[in-house]
Order: sequence, then C-alpha cells, then structure tokens
Amino acid sequence: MTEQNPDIAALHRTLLDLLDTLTARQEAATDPATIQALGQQMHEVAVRLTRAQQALFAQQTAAIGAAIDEVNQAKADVDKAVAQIEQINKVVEAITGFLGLVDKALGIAKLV
Amino acid sequence: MPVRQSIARIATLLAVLWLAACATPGPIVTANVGAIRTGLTLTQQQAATAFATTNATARDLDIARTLANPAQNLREADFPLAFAPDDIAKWSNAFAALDSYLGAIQGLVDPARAQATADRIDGLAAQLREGPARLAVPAEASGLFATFAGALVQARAERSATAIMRRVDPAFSAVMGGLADAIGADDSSGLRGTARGYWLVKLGDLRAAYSQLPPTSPGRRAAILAFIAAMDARDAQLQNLAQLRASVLALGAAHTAAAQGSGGDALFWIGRIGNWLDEAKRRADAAAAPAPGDQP
Repeated sequence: MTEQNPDIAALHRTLLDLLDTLTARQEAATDPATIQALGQQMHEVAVRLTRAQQALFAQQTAAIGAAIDEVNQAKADVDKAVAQIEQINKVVEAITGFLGLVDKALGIAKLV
Repeated sequence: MPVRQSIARIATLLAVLWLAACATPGPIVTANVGAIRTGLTLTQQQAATAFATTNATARDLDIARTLANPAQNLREADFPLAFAPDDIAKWSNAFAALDSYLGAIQGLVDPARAQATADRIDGLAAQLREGPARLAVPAEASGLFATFAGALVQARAERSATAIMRRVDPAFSAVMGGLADAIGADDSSGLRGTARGYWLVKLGDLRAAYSQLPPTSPGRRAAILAFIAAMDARDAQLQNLAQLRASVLALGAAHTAAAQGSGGDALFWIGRIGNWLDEAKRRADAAAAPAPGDQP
C-alpha cells in the first residue's frame, strides 16, 4: 500500500462525516426552507471534498513512480532474455547457412 | 546392432531430459501471464470509467452549486475535478508499463520461439545428413534432439521469466496497492468515500426538490421513484468500486502466485477477477437501462 498524507486523508474523512451529519439534519427537518438551505450547505462541503480528493489522488499517483521505474527495468531485462534466445537461433541458423555454402563448394570441387 | 543400441540409449536419455525440462515451474508462467494481462486491461478500463464518472459528477455538482450562488461571476477554482487529468494520464502510463512488461514476459515464454529453435536444429541435422558429406545422423535421434533443444530453450525462457517476475513482484504489488488505496478501503475513504459523498449531495438535492412539492402534487410519485432509483444507483456504484478494489488486489496476488510458481493460486485469483469484472459490467449495464418512472 502507498503512504498517504494523513492530514489530507483525515480532512477527506472529516468532510464526509460532515456530509453525513448534514444529511441526518436534512432528513430530520420538516420545513422546506431548512431542507433547501441544508442542501446548499452540502454543496459547499462537496466542492471541498472534491479538492481534498484531488490532492489525495495526486499524492497516491506520485507514490507509484518508483515502482513503475522498476517495472520498466524488468521489461528491459525480459527483452535481454529474449535477445539471448534469439541469439541461439541465429547461431544455429548461421551454422546451417555455413554448411550449405561448404556443401556447395564441395559440390563444385567434385565437378572440377 | 551396437550402434542401434547406442541410439536407443541416447534417445531414452534425451526423452528423460526433455521430461525434466518440462517439469519446471515455467508452464505456470505461460498459462497465467496472458490471463493476468487480460485482467489488467479490464481493470484499467474499469478504473478509467470510475475516474471519468466521478469527474463528471463533480462537474455536475460544481454547476449546481454555482447556479445556486447569487454571485454574478465565474471562477475556475469553483470547478475542481476529483481526479486531475495529469494524474489520470500518469496512471494510464503506469498501466501501459505493466502491460508492456507482461507482454514481454508472454513473448519470452511463447512456445513458438522454442519451436523455432527446434526447427532450426532439425534443419541443421538435415543439412549434415543430406549434404555432400552424407554424415550418418539418424533422423529419429536428430528429431528427438531438436525437440529436446526446443524444450531446453523453453525451460530456460520460463526460468528467466519466473526470476524476473519474482524480482519485479514487489513493484507490481506496490502499483496494485496504490490503486487499491486510491479506490479506498471502505466507503469512507478514497474514491469510494468521495463517490458516497457525492451521492449524499445528490440525494439531498432530490430531498430538497421533493420538499418543495405540495402534498397534492401529481409529481410526488415521480420524485419518490427518482429518489429510490438514485439510492439503487449509489449502491451499485459503491459495490462496483468495492469489487474493482478487490480485483486490483487479486491481480497483485495472481502475479505473486505466478511468480512463485503456484499455478493453482494464480488461477484462483484470475478466476475471481473474471467473475467480479463480469458482475461489475452486468451492474453497469443494468444502471444504464431506463430507471422505473423514466419516460419511455
């Protein structure tokens, strides 16, 4: 798991708690004007929740940078392993090709 | 006769070695990496959809808040997004790096590569046998040797793949853990918490709209149905996010199991990822269908 900034994570949770509280008050209200006013307050909290979420996500994103570097290094190692196997195939192919040339030369030598 | 016996012994020895080469943990890599890669692609799609949906909701709420504000001006700061496009792009790049790594592993253990080695060695034997030198290379033995060489190449590729997977496993798990954290461990943290908060506000708006309707209004039933549909949509979204988190963690577990040569565990996690993602798609399709009370 990544390290999260506890302050922003705590702020995010506090804003959610506040929304829960406002919801409970809105549900308990009987007067339409109060219900409306509480709804507007919830919007004010929501925009701050969005900002907290954005800051939290930016930190979480920054935390995976080193891990991705390691994955990219691993990809390079895999490419190296593939190249080694390809090299085996190339050597066998080269020997076959070389023997083919030798055989041709021998064939010509027989004709002379 | 002694020559035939020698060939038979060599053939037996090669067959034993071929079986030994096949008995590496490698085939687990061959069998599972493709499935992990598919799971990764599906997870990335789900995560991208979750980010986009949450940003769209944030924008809707920003607009509603601004409309309710008597101030006759607009400020960019009043329209924040939950997920900055730069950060979303970084996650997209991270998934691309993981996919590229898994694709390379898949390529490394591709049986076609080992077959190519076997074919080339077979070609070399044919050259020795059929060329002017006419070397006595028995076709059965050279065929078996070619197969053995192919199996050795495959075993070596799979051992290399397993070693690299073990080395990269902590990094793979760190990325999956980071995404799991971003999604949130419960409905009060991360994206799950934010999504739940947005639904509280949306339900608050529906409650406020309902409170404005007179008791005799014919619109009350539609308002109630809209409220219930919103509750159902919230539950579906939160469940999808919980399962997306579980899938992300399962991908990490599947990679660890494959890297450790535990094919059964890897298949178990991959199977669960498939089930969760199918379930999430079914709920997303259901959510996209017209809600009760909607006009046809």
